[in-house]
Amino acid sequence: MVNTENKPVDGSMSVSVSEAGKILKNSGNKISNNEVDAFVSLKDINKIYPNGVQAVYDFNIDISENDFIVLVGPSGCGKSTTLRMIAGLEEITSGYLYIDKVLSNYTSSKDRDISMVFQNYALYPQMTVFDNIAFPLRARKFRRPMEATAVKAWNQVIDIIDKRAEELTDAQKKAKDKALNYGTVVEYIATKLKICDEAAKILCKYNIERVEDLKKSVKGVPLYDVIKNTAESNIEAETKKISAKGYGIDEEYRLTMDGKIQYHYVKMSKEEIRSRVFEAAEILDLGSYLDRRPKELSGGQMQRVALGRAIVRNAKLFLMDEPLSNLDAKLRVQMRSEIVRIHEQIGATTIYVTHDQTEAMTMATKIVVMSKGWVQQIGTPQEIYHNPNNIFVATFIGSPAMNIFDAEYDNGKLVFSNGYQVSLSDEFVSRHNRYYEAKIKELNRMLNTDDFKKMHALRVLDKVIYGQNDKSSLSALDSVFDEIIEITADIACGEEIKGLIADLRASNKDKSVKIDKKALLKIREPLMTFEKIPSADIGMLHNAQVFSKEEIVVDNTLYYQKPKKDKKKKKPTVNLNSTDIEFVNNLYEVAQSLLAKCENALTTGKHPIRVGVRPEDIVLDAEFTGNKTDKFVANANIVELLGSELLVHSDWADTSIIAKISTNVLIKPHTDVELAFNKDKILLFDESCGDRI
Amino acid sequence: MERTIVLEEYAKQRSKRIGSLRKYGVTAIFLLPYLLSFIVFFVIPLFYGVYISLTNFQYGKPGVETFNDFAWFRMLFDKTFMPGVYNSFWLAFVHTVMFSVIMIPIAILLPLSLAILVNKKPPGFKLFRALIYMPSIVPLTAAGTIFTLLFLPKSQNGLLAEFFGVEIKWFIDTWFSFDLFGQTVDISYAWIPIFLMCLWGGWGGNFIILSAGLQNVPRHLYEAADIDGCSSFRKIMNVTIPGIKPQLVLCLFTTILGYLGLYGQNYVLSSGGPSIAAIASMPAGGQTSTLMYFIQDIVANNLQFKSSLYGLGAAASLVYALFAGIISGIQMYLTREKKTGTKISEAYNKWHEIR
Amino acid sequence: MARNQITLEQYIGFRKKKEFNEKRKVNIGKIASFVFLLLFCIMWISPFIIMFFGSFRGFTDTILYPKELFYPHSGYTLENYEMLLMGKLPEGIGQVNAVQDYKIGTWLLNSCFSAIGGTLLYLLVASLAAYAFTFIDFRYRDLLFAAIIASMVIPGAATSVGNQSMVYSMGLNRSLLALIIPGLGGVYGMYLIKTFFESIPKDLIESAKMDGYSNFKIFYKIVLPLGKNVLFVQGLFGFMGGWNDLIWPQMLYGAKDTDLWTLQVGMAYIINNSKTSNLIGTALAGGVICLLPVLVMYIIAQDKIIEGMSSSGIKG
Repeated sequence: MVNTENKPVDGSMSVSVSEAGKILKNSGNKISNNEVDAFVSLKDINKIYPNGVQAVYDFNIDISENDFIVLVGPSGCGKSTTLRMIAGLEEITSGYLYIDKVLSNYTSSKDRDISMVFQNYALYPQMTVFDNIAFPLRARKFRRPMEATAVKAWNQVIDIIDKRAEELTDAQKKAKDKALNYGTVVEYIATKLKICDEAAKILCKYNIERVEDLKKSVKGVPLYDVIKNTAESNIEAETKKISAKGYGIDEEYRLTMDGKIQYHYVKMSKEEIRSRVFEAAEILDLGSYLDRRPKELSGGQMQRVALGRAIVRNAKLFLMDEPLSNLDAKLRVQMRSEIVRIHEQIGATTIYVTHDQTEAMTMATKIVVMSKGWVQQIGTPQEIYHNPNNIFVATFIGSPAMNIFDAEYDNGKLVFSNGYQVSLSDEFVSRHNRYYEAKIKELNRMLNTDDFKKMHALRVLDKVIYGQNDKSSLSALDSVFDEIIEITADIACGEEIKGLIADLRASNKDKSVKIDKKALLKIREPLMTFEKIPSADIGMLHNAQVFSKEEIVVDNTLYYQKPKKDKKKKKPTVNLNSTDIEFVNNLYEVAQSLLAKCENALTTGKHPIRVGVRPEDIVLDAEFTGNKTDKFVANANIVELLGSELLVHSDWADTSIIAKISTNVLIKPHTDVELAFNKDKILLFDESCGDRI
Repeated sequence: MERTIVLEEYAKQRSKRIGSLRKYGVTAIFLLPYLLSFIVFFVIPLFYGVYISLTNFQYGKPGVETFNDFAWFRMLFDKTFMPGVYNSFWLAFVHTVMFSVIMIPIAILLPLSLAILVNKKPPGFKLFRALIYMPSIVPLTAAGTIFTLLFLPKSQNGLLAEFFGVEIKWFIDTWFSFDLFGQTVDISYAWIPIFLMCLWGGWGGNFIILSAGLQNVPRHLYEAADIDGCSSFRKIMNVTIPGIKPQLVLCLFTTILGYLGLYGQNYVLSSGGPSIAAIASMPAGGQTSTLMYFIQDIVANNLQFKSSLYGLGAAASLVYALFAGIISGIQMYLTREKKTGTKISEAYNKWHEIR
Repeated sequence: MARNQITLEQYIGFRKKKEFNEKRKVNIGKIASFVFLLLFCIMWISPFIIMFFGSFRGFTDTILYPKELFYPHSGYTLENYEMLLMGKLPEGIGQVNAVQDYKIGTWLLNSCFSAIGGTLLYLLVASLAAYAFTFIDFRYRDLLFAAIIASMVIPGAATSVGNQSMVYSMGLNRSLLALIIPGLGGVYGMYLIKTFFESIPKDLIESAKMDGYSNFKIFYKIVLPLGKNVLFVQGLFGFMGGWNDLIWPQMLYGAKDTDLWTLQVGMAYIINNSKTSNLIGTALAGGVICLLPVLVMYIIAQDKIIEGMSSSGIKG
């Protein structure tokens, strides 16, 4: 049930197991965490599908109220999966999800108080627009104060005939202007006079067309008196009935007990549903479509209905899964601003998934850029655009995409492949050095953790076990064992391994006999229990593998995990899985080579680097007066005119570059242009791991 | 003097003529075989049937018949004209309707619930689907042998009698009787094997069609219903059933027509019997007769009826077709897509005015 | 490989799962439906098994040991099949109480002729018509098609009597052709073939026309190969329909022309004459002969049949 009155318990207190069960039962399985101060908080969320593919790695984000978060990334990056985990449509493999401070991993989606807009609208085809929007209101019960409905209705009737008889006759006349059926007349009067449906129904029954009708006598008694007497007797009877049950009635006809208003869970009343759906329809301008079925609507209208269904319940959290991707370009732009407007009007926290970076940039208050299951950067649109964390974010955000050059860094200078040089400021050189120093420190710390030492030892050992090394006699392996002992000296299981190796040496007196493989595997066992590797570390290595231009040499003699053989050969399997195996098996190698490169970069001061320049930062040398580089000449292959701007495509320094030039000068295709870079806006990326320096 | 014409004009007209000739020739070659068969074996027989039903037509002796003053129809609708035929026809009608009323809901709901189960995709669901459909491909006669074996009387070592000691003579004894419009209607035990045979193999097509329909219900609708807070019952009512409505309508249509035309099961298992003494010499004068059985008895099974009552068969088949048509017409009307009107938007406009 | 070998990925996932102490959710719905479907299928398949084993039970066993269904008292025999196919009566059975001879061989051939010949001819005629209705423009095309489709609401019974006399007038009443030809005007198959043809891109046909293909060439070089699947499925249904049909052959050849009977008519006759304990085995054997062709076909092309049935529901 929604909004159970049980207060959530603080999940951080430690209790005994048996007690924990009881506490949870009392709190309706609700656990809160008071340390979470964000409205929605995801902590180390992972998603691994049953087939072993990991879709989301350690997703962390805090979302405050009224935020408009956009998850953006290429298809297959895990953004939809993340959203569906928040919605409760997909199970969370590990991690913690807090919605409004309540731990929500295992609450069903209907109890999370969220609403969602789907990519293909998910409208119920058999229902009218009205019914579609009203559906979430009808499907569940809501917490409402208990009311003395009959008392309220009769009191309102008295009020009307006493003071507002004219309003009533007026409303009745208007309602009957168009021949509407009874239900609608009642609804109209109820809305117009701001009374409940019950009262309106009673008033309609007495058929008061003119104010004078009240004085008309019915069997000798004036109608006014008839109504009033009936009302009073009814009120008296109802009140008696209610007080017999031990309730009191306050001035708003709510039931009270010991002075406290009593609540219960009820279906929402028809009048409330009506007014809420109408309000939603008003916001979305759907009034004239309320009778239509979804298939009679256009894409944009269907999308608005889907939005209406989401906003009608006033849920705390809105989720939108690529809601605009099925619309054509023009409608998409229109709906984009519509959604932003609705968000401003309603103010509900929104999480929005899209693959379109323009949508992300224009709508979000905060963007989350994802790639292959990893969060690459979280920030405001400005931050993401101007200070991208790495080369992926830099190229993904912005249209046309950022120009990336492969260049050489040579002690404070950038040397492009065609010899063009840009000298960098001292400030930048020191930043460069700081970056590499930090990176080396970081990598050294990482390589000195137990887990990486174990991996190192495993690497040495596995070469013997699985490699083509047939000289696996003790004499040949002595040096290997020594190496392993040395590597594992400082870690927790070092003693155990030392003992195992000593046993092995003791049991094989004859040093030339081949050692049993089983004995070697026994040494391997303690090495295979890994402690926690921080997700940040894995993320860094992952990026190093994905974003570096250089292929990581895959050492096939290493097997932390062997690729599973496909049982069903017919079905094409996702290749991601096997690359991940390589990634996992080569973590140590990746870290090692990264370290080597960083050290090389710092000591020699000469290394390949990637230079990123946004199209608008390639400027016309003649026009730009700011801090710019030396001019260079490029041949304009194609020139596209976009209204006030020109896109100039050309080939320069073995790269095809795009310059966005805001100018009145018309550049003709196939002419030479003198260009320069805006020096303040040049971004440099580490060649080996793609991070921005 | 010979008429003159501009050569260009002549050439144009000529090629137009030839072109259209060729086109119609091609169309005719493609279409004629089918169209001819359709006309000769559907359209003409339809009217021929009407003609036969209005005359004293004799099978095998066409050309000598004359209009017979609706005698065949009067036999069917006038109680006093020929009470034997009247009674046996309407008894067959009552049997058909009663059996259909019992069988049609089962033949929809059973496959629907099985389809829902299969749609949960338990291990081996494809095999289950294939097995569940299998009885439906079995020829009636082959299925009939099995149910005959089961329901033979004790004296003939029927399996039910042997294993469970059931002493009923299934194809002879009367199960129960009731009065309808002053007539006593005897219901034979033979309806039970007929019912079981229909239950076994009479709905496989529905099952497959409904399964396919269920697979086509969009998954995101279920997800939306989840988020909107639906119970699983509400999900079935608001998502599943509306989602497979076209399939349900189709199944209902074919099933209604199928069971109104019930014949083979009765013929194979009980031969329409046990016969009723009062109308034993009439077509379909048995306790398990049906409308189709009545027609078939006249025009196929009994040579005597075929020569003497042939027009009655034609008349009965027309009445039957009309009845079946009306029933499926009603069904189509009830399951049609209802128009929505403008009531709510008018209410909205008024609400908007007040605000 | 070592027992407790895990990947880092798994490790990261599993340890957190453990921390959460999450019980693995078992999908109760799936298991329940599995169990129910299993029981249901066993029940629904058992008649096949009873029929199959029953047909290999000797005459005397059927009478004396009726309860021994699956392991006949004196072993499996082919008595029933011999009697049906060769008219060989076993000892002790004097006379089969039947007026007509059992001509299973003839009936089998008739059935094959009707089912196979009818199906092939119908496929040809119907696909030609479907082609014309889809790809050739002629006046009143859509009207004509709509009229033909509308005729589907008229139950077959309305035309059957007229058809019977029609066939007689054409002199086909003592010919096997009467089993085939009246079916050629069938609407439903043509309609399904046409719906498939409609899904073939018109551009394909038009480009072939530009390349100089005639309508006939387009029909058998492009449309037929593309529609192979739907034709195959229609063929299967046509075959099964023709094979299983009882009413029309009965109407045609009535009680006397046993040489023209199909297997179904003959089998119905056999069953009606075999409702005694000693002959039931024969009936079962006849049932097996009747069932075998369709069953084999179903087992081979089960996927296609179910798929075709499904799509008829989606489109129809």
